[in-house]
Amino acid sequence: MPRWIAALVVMLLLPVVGQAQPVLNIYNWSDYIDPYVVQRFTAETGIRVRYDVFDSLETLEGKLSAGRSGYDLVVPTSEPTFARLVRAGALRPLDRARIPNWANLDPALMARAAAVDPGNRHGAIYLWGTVGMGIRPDRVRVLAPDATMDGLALLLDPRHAQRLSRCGIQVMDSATDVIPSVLRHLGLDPNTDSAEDLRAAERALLAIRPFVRAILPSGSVLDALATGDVCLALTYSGDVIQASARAREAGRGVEVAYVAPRAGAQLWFDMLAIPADAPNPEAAEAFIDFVLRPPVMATITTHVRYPNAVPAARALVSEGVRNDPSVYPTEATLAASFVATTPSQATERLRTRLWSRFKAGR
Amino acid sequence: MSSPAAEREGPARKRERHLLLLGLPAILLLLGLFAWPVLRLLAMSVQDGTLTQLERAATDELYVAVLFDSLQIAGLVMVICLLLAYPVALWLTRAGPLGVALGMFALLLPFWTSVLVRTYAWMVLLGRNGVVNRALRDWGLIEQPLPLLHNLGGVLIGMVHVLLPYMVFPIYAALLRIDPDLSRAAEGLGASRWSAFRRVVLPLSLAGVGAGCALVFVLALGFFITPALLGGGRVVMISMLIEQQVRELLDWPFAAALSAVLLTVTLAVYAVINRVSRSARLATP
Repeated sequence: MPRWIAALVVMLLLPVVGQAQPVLNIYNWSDYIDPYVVQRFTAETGIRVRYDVFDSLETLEGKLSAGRSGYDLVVPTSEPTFARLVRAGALRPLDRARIPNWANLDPALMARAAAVDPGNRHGAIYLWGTVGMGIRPDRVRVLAPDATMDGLALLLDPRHAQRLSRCGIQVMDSATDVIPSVLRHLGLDPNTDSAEDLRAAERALLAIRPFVRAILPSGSVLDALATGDVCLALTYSGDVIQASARAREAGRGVEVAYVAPRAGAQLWFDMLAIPADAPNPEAAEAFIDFVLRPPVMATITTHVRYPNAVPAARALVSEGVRNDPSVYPTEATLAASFVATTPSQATERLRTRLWSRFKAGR
Repeated sequence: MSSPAAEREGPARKRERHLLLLGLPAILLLLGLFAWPVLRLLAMSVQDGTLTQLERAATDELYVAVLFDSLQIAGLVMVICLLLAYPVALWLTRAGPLGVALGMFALLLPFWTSVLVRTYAWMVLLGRNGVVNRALRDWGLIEQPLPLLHNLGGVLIGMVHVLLPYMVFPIYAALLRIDPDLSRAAEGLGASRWSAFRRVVLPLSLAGVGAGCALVFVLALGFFITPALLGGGRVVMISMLIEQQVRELLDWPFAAALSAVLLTVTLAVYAVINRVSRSARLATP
C-alpha cells in the first residue's frame, strides 16, 4: 500500500478512534470562564472537553434550532433564548441526582430564574448580572454637572443626552434588554403588553436617537467603552466591568464605572443547559456539578467579574471583585430589580417594530 | 452593434438550439435551487389565503420608509460607482499592457476577497481610532476624530468599494468593443477630442453603462452585511428588516411578503434602467 493511502486511512479513522474517549462539547459565551477550570475538570474526570464560544445569542440559537448541534452543554441567557428553548422542548430536563452540588445554588435567585422555566427543570444559573450604564464619570461630571449618575435619566433625558453626545453615547442592539429598562424608568410595567406603554417607550427612545452615536452588539459596546470612545453606554453589567478592567490595564487615564439604574435594574441569568439531543448528557451533568462547587465558581467569578448564584462561593472570590458593588449588586439594587418575562407574540412584534423605528429613525 | 447578431440569425438557428443544450445543466440547477425556493418563499406570503401580509408589507409606514431609504442608498451607490468607474474603464482601454495588468489586478484582488473581510477592514480603517483618523490627527489636520464609521457615509464607502468592479467591467467591455477608428475618424473630420468622446464614444458605451447601473443598483438594494456592520445600527436597509422578521420573530410569512415587495421594486427598477439605457442607445444616430 503506498504510503499516502495509509496516511489517508489513518486520517479517516482518527475521528472514530477519538470517540472512544469520552468528550464533552461545551458551547459558551466568549471570555466567560477561567480556562484553568476546564483543565482541572479534565484532569479530575478524564473527560476531554471541546470548548467552543459564541458572541451572540442569535449564533447559539441558530446552531441549536438547526438540530444535531453536537453540543452537550450550552449557556443561553434566560430571556429570550433559554425561555424559547425550554418552550420548544429543545432542552433536556436535568437529572439532579447526578448534580449533588445543586444544593449550593441560591434558592432566591433560582426562584427568579424559574419565571421562564417552571421548577428550574432545565437549567442552573451559571452567572448573572444586571442591565445598566457604563459611564466615564469624569467626563459626565464636566459635560452634565447637574445630572445625577444613578439612573437612566442620564441617557433618557434629552437634555443630558444632548450634552453627553459630544463625547459619545452607545446603546446595545438588543430590544429584549433595553425596552424593559426604559419602561421601568418611565414608571411603567417593564413586561407590559400595552401598546400605549410601548408607544411611550418609543417616544422616549426616538427623543434621544439624534444623540446616540451607534446601536451595536454588546461586544462592540464593550470595546468602545474600554478604549474611551464613548462616555455613556447602556449594556450588560459584566461587559462594563470588563471594559473598566481593560481600560485600567491600558493605563491611558480612561476610567469606566458601572451604574445600575436606581429605579430598578433588569436582572438576567445565563443558564447551564443541556440540548435535548446532546450526545453525552452525563458528561454535561458532571461538568455542571463541577462548576457548582464553591471554590470552582469563585475562580470563575474572580476571572470574568460576573457574580454567580452559589452563595458559599462569595467568600472565596478575590477581595477586589467580591467587594465591588458593580459586580455584586447591593441589597437595595437587588430589591428594586426585576426579571423580564417572555412577551406574547403580539407584544414581541410591537417591540421589534419599536426597535426598528429607533434604529432607522423612521 | 446589433448587426452581427442579425446576420447570424437565419442559418444558425438550429445550432443555437444545440447550444441551449449546453446550458441545460445550469438552467436546471437555477430552476431547482433558485427559482423553486424563491417561488416557495413568495407563496408563503399568501399561505393563509389572504393578501393581508402583502398589504401590510406594502403599506406599513415603517417598511415603506425603510424601503425608500434603501432605494436612496442604492441610487447614491450607483451614481458614485458610475462617476468613479467610467474614468477607470476609459483609462483601462487606453493604457499600455502593464497599466491594464496593474489596473485589473487592483480591481480583481478585492473582488476575490470575501465581502465580510473587506467590511471588517473598513471598520479598522474608518473607526474613531482607525487608521484614517489617526493619520489625520498625526498630521495635525483635525483635532476631533471625524465620524467616518457608523453612519451613512461609512455605509456608502463600504458599498461602493464592494460594488465598483460590477460597474467597471461592463463599461470596460462596452468601450473595448468600440472601434478606435471611429473616434479617429471623428477627429479627422474636425471634431475636438472632447466632442469625439461626447458624440461617438459615450453614446456607444451606454449599453455598458446601463448594464453596470442595473447590476450595481440591484445588488445594492438587497445589501445586508455592509450596512449592518458599517451603519452602526443607525442605517437600516430593508434586507435587515427581512432578516429580523425571520431570525427574531420567526415570522416567515411576513418576511416573505417583504421579500415579495423588495423583489417587485427591484424588477421595476431594473426594467426602468433597461428601458432608459435602451432608448438612450436608440436615440443616438
